[in-house]
Amino acid sequence: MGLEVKRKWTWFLSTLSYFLGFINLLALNIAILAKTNIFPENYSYIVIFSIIIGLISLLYNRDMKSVLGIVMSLLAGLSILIMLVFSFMINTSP
Amino acid sequence: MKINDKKQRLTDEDPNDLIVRSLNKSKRKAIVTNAIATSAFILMILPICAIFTFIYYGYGISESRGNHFLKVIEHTIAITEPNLLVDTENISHEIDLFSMTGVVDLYKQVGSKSKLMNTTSYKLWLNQIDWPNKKVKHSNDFIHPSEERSLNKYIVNERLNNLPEGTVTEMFVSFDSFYNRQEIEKMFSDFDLELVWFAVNNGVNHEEGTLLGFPASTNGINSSFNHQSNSEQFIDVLKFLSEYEEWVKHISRRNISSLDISETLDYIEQNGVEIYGVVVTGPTKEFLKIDRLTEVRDYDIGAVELWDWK
Repeated sequence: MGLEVKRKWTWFLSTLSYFLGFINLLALNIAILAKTNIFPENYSYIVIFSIIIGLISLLYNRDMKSVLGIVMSLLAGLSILIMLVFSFMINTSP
Repeated sequence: MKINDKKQRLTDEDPNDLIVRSLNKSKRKAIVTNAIATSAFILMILPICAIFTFIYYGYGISESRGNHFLKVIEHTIAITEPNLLVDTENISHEIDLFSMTGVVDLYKQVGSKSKLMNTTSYKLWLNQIDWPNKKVKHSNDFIHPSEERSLNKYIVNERLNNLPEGTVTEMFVSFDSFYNRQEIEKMFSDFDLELVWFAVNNGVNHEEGTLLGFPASTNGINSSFNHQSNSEQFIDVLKFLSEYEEWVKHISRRNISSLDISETLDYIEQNGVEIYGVVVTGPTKEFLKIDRLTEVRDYDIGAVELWDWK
């Protein structure tokens, strides 16, 4: 019984991690293609939450879904960070 | 109890059916796994390209490729377009996949105020600049001292006489020889006029499209030319632009043979800044007096606006 609950819990975590990563990356793709900021104000918290879920999921189970989930969440977070930082770096004020 | 029932059912079933069902289940699982992996990898392509583009243009902070591109636009316009300046505070940029676009506001001073003339954009595809979509006239408004050309100051004087008094004019004044900035400022000190742009001898040739110079004043427009002596700044700008000759040729829309920044820089470093023309602005009727200056060879009217003078 304990094993069954653990299996379901692991499945839930890896699916949630993959789903959050997928949503993050899909939103990022839409934003890049539309050249518009479609993210809500506190979107960074969602990215952090999905990274944490991805890490927890990875602790329980190292299947492809968990790995892809954390990779997608990290990539979304990194992309947003780099876009913000590097666009501020281009500034010609003398 | 339930497990026993399940075992019993499995033993009752045909082994071939079991194998087919098991194979189908594995097949479905493989398809789902593949779909999950493929969709994830597809979604990763754009963000990875975007990360690459932002690092490509933004890495290096003030020395980044993106900043240099915007600086080249600003400097090129300041030294190749007489009396035209880019406001550095209002330069905007947009980064797309593998490309960057710089949008600049161009200001011209006629009278005492600078007016927005145009907004132009320049696009860089990785390191390759697109030919800008703007129309420019390359006829040289100045006459080089060594150039033989019929003078039109008599026609200009007639035009000036016919223009109403309540107007301000932009005038392209050409000299009979080369002068330095102080000599020119002294020359015009008795007139109620403002010097706005100097045409500099580049020592290469005086054909169409080789006009180079620097702003005399920036009139409140944020520019690289309001931080130190403009003649020194002009040499610094040429040094900077010599590293980006291809971009300069595209931004100024000059052909490759007619603009050689390195050669111009060598000449100016050896001979100093030799000025042979100046863009002057002020009350229209004041320009009727400049004919008495022996150093002035010719002049031509640029823009005329309604009265706006200090």
